[in-house]
Parts: sequence; structure tokens; C-alpha cells
Amino acid sequence: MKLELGKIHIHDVKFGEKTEIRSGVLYVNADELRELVLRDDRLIDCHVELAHPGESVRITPVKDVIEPRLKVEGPGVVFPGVMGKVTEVGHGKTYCMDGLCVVTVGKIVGFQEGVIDMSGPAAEYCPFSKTQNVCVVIEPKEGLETHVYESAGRMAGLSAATYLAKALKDQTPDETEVFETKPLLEQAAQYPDLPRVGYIHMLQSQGLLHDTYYYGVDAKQIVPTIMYPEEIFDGAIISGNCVAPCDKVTTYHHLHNPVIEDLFRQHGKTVNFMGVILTNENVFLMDKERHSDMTSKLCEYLGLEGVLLTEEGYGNPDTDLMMNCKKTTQRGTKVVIITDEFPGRDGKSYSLADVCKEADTMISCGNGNVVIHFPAMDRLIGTQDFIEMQIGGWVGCKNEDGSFDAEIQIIIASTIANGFNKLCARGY
Amino acid sequence: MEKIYLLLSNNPMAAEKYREDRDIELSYHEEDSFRDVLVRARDLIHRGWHLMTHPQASNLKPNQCPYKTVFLSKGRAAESEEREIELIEAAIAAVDKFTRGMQAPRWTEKALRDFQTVDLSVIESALNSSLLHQMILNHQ
Repeated sequence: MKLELGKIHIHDVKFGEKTEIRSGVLYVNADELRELVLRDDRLIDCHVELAHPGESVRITPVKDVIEPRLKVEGPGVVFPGVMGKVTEVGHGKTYCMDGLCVVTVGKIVGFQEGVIDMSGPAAEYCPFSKTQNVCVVIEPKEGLETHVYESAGRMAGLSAATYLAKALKDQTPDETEVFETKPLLEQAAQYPDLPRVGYIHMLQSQGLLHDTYYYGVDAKQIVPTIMYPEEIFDGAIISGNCVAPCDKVTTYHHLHNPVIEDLFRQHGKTVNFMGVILTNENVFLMDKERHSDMTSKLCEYLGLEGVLLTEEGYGNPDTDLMMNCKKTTQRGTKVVIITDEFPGRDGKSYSLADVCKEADTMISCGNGNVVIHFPAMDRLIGTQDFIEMQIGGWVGCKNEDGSFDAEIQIIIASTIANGFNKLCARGY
Repeated sequence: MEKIYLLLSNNPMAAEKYREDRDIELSYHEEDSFRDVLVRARDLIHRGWHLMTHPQASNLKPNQCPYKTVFLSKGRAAESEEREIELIEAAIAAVDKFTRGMQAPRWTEKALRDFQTVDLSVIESALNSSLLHQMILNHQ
């Protein structure tokens, strides 16, 4: 499978009469976008706001972050099975708006969702403080069931990104990256002297607001499977997860999975990147046993000498993380875990909720329990009404002027457990 | 027939749904805290019940959610007893870690309902597992 990813650099976003890209600036027809989102009768209101890096702006509660991408050559559409037919993606050519995001904003449930500050101390922890953001602020119909509203919110973001992506059509990429993975035996033969390395990608799949979709299918329903890494760049995986902002894997993070991107950078140099094993994080303990058995079996079957292993979330997923690590190691594949840590405010407790002796190599993505100050901002996109209840906040953490103290858990992607952040330990 | 599955919960929404279930016994404790439910689960494991769901299921950390539901069985065990104790003790330790010196937020009625929905959804993701569904159906 071979994919060319053409990046069109976007350095500013403005409202305009027509949605288009001119000289690296995205102009957005807000009325057209709003009208599109409001075609969903589960939503009663939507407004579009723009946020730029360095501005005194706070965006909260954030549901998802998405990069607009457009399929320009090859089969399928971006976000297959959701925004179009369930056709295999990852072939041909795709364009993306590099440096621009759609941010879906609005309360999903009273106590959740995170914060993006476009400037100030919290901006240092968030990758989306440095992007041009088109914020789609949505308001659900009164009395809508949480499940239904979550779905409406998810679709609003994906529809907005798909709409904006049309502006990429006749653009010339500023930069092009080419990713290629051959069928197993050919791939193994291409770099016979390099270690065969894979990636075990654990998808959050515990229930409402804890879900992920693979080609439109709820990841709870899958058994561990093999994926060409290129598929993820075309949106084969999307986020339906709204819990714990700091380590939530947004749809943007799936499109930009840093483990996959970094493995490709080392592909043919220090490793032979063989592919991705997808698995999930279920609640029933026997499913955990069954799926970690299957995951380790796939590693053995593919002849992997090493794997990188990531999770989404804390607690229950830590057990899947350890089961996958233990069984994969025991079957002869070396495992490196990448995850974030929650050792409590004083840093004295165990960082993970589970452990095994095979877990002897871990890359840390930071400590989510660290407390910082969030100064008041001049402009607010969304609402701060729930800060005390949002993850990382507490009773009395908010001041009258709009400033507050909170654990960095409240910041979108601050400690994301695949390393797409500033706190991840990196080698240079 | 004696029911070999037990839904242990302080979540009124879960209680409402499983009060009359043909296969699942309900053990509902309205006054229990999140931690109390875990302690009850631990005591049941010591008395021979088996842990069917992960006690830290859901990404909500203990200080972030007042409700907890745990599913137990007298039939087949998923894990060794030693491992079950390890998991439940780790869950209790996590509550203590995250609630130390913290005051529980004043949840609004709407937030409480949302918490109940999420807790129920998480436990139902286990009950809807094809493997567990078949086990319940076959009284295993």
C-alpha cells in the first residue's frame, strides 16, 4: 500500500464569502458551514468562531479536534464508512490542511471535556494552541439522550472537516510525504538486515463516550486485526471518546499518529516497519484475555522482533496494556510501552493502575496530576461554567475573574499516551 | 434456578434496569460511595465470587465519578483468585490516591444523571460482549 500525503500549509484563517484557500490562508463561509451542521435536527444551534495562536482565547469544553483532509487520487473517501462508502483507504494521494484544525465545542455531559488556551502557560502543554482553529460550537436539542447527542457532536465535527477539505481540491502541496508498506513477505525481504518492528495500537472501547470507530464500526465489536499504517492517514479510525482530555486520542491524533509517523521516519534506516496491529480495551475480563492472546499471537505470526505499544486512557486500559506486554514478550517479541502517568498530586503513588514484570521499558508522556494556573482570557469560545467539574478541576478551583487552577489533565492532549505532546520523552 | 451472576452497584439507573433480570441478581446500595462498592466487591471475591468486569472500567477516575457498578459471577472465573484480589485492591488504592485531600464536586442533577448513564453504558459494554452473553445464556 502506498500513499502520498500532500500538505498544504495554512498560516491563517479568516471569515470570507467563499470557503477557499488563497496564499496559505483559509477563508471560511461561516453561514454555509453553520447551515451544513444544522441539517442535523438533533442540534438546535451552531456558531463558528476562529481562534489563532497567541490570542487571549480559551476554548472549552472541547469534544474533538480534526484536520481537514481530502482524497484526491485513489479509492474511497477520508473517514470511510462514516462520511462515505466503506471502501479501503490508504492508496493514492491525499491532501491535508497542515496547521489548521476543526475543533468541536459544546457540552456533551456536564462534567467532561477539556480546555485549549491559545496563549499563556497552559498553551505550552497543548498542540492545538499552535494551530489555526475553526471552532464549531454546537447546542443540542433539549432532552436528547446522551448517546444521541454524542453521535450528533461527532458527526458535526466530521461534516465540518469534510466541508472545509473541499477547498484543498485544486491546491498544490507545499510538501509531500510518501508512505509505503508492502505485503508481509515482501516487506520482510525489503530490509532483511533491519529488525522487524510493529505497532500495537489499543483503541478505547469501553462504552458511551469511551468509543473509537474503525471504518465506521465501534471498536468494541472488532477482534484484534492487522492494518496497513497508511489506512490511518485517510481517517480509517475516528474518535468517539470524550473522557479525560489530557490523554484523549482525538481524530486529529489518529490522522497524525506520532508512533506511525516516527516509525516511517526510521523505516529502512534503523527498523523495518511491518505494520499495525489494532486491538481494543474492553471491560469484560475474559475479552481482555482473549484479545491479548490474539494480539500476541499476531505479533508472533508476523515474525515481529519488536513492538511499540500504546493505550488510550487510565485504569481499565492499563490492564490491557500489561496483558499485551506480558503475553507478547513471553512469545518472543520485545515490547516498549508508551504511556502517561497518574501518580497522584504528591507523585508518590504508582503511576499506572496495573503492572507486570515484563513491562521493563516505558516511554513516559508526562504526569497528568501536575497543577498549573490558568489566567483569565479576553475571549471565551464555549463555556467555563463546568470548570470545577471538568476532569482536573475541583471545587473552589475557579476564581471570579475567570482564572482557575487545575491539573494539566484538563488540557486537551497535554499528556496524550502516544507522545503527540511536549512532555513525552524523546531521543534526538 | 439460582442466579450465578451479580450486579453490584450504587447506580440507580443500573438498579432500575436490572431489578427484574431473569439471569442477573441485583445488589443495589444507594448509600454506598464509589469506594464502598469496591470494598463490597473485594469482600465478595474473598467469599468465592469472581470478578467479571474490570473494577476500574471507564476512563473516569474515582474522584471524577460518584457511581460504580461491578459485575461478578459464581460460575467460570476470568482470572485466578490472586489476580482478582490484585485488581480489586489496586482499584481501591486508586480511589485513595485520587481522592486524598480532595473535596468531591457539587454535582448538578444533570451531571449525576450523565454519570449514571456513562457507568451503565460501561457495564453494558461488558454485558453485551458476545462471549459474556453466551455464558449468561448457557448458565455457565
